[in-house]
Amino acid sequence: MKVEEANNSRELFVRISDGDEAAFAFFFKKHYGRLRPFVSRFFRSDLEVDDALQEVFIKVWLNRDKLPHIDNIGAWLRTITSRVCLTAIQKDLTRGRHTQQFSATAAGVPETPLERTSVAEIRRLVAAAVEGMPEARKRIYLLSRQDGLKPAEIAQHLSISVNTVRNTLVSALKDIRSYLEQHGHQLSLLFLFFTFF
Amino acid sequence: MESSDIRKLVERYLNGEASEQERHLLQMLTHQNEDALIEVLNAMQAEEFPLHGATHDQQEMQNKIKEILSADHPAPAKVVPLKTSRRSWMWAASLAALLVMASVFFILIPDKNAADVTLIPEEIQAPESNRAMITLADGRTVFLDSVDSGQVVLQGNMEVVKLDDGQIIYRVAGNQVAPESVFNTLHNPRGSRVIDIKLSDGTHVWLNAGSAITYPVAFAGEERKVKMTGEAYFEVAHDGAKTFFVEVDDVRIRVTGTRFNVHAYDDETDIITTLLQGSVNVTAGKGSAALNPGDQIVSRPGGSLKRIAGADVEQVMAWKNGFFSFSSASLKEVMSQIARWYDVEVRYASGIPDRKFAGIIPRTSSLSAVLKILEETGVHFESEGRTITIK
Repeated sequence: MKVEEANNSRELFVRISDGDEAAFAFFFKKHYGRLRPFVSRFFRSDLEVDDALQEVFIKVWLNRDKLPHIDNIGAWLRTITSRVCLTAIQKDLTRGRHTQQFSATAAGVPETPLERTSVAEIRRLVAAAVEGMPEARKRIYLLSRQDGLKPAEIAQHLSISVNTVRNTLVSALKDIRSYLEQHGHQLSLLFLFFTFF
Repeated sequence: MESSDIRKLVERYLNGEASEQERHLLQMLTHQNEDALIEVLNAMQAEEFPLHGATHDQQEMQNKIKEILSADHPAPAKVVPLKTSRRSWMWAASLAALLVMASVFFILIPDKNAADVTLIPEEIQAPESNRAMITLADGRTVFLDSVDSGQVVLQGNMEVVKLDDGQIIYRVAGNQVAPESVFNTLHNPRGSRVIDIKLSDGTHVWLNAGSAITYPVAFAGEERKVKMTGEAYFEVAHDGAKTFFVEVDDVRIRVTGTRFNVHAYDDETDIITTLLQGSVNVTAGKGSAALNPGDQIVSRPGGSLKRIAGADVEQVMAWKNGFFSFSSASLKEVMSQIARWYDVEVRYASGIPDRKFAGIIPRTSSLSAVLKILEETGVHFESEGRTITIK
């Protein structure tokens, strides 16, 4: 990888971690088409493949604060994807021999994270998590997500340092992940295994 | 197992070539050796990754991105202007405060015409689904409603299967060793439909809302023993060699014959055992009593036992047959059944009215329909959200 390109992607990840949606869209478009053929092997319908990929990228998005600290984004993304495919195998095999029919609404692997869960459900839980945040943290998070302000703009707006804003946004994401986890969506687990790469 | 072997296994699985045994092996791996599997899948991805993906419809991609990004977009509750001075924030805040005050004021002015109208709560429907869950020995929880019919989980040689009609059964699968002293708990929360389960010995148990039962995955010892709270109806499978026991707190029910109901909610002092068929023996503290079909034993903490001959079995079993059925029931009894079924909280504004109720209401009725019926008998309610206050 050329130095220039590496620098660019580093900057891209910082932008994504700052909540820049256009930067995330770029990342999504770059990887979506490449992931799809592999993921497709684990499912029988396009709809399920769509859902699985959506799960992968929701995980990326809700772990965006970690992106600038990851050395090998490719390996990280592969691990997230593998985890989703593994869950697909589990569901398929757990369902057992009773039915040949394949569907996304699969059997009961208890540790199933996001599948079968619509984005609406995640959104509802995130909203509840945000509601429970300390006032200052909540305000900064809403300025970022609801109003689309960059950390620098939020810092200026509130007369605090950019670092404080960034740290607060990281804390907010941690709050959200732990809330989602309490409700059965294991998002932070990712952290455990991508440290191996 | 070498990672090259795992790789072959995964490939065979993906190509639909895996034998039953290989599928079983892979399933075990997904639980016991996740890391190795992830590594193999990562390697496959790294090799198979095309440098450039196929092109996708731009609009469709945009929609997908928007959907994902919406995951953490709290609904815009208020419009905050992007550039705003502190002063206009304060102005907005005081306007909001004014609005809140205005609405409080509005509510406090009594509407004379409405004075005698009892508020019927917004439609709370009878439970339409079952939200029961099984807690496994290792602490994992399986939510049964989110599981398709088929095998739910495998513990040793015992598989838990959900049938098409929602019944849960434990049965032997494969030739592994029977798990010893592995306990599962089936929990059926309030506001959830009745669930029925067949234990590994063939004993059939129906569980009412707000109830739980703990049982071994396989009955290994010399006796069969389960623990429960709430309400359950049992049809015990005959096994002369292994006596069946149901335990609730310090009350122990020894079962020699088949059909009986146990009513033992934590918020009620009485534990009521009603025998429909066969014979059971109830022990509480030092007391002990045998039941004949149609008899009921009311046991209380501290070991008191009271036998009631010729109980109204139909009424006892109404819950399982889809009805509320009362005859000479106190308002508290009526309301606690309603609270559990609709998952609402009941409060009494000024003590519990001393009245008795009789009647049959289908459990499929909406909450407001049930309250309306009660209201016709002169009980008045006020409700807010899931709390019903009796005036």
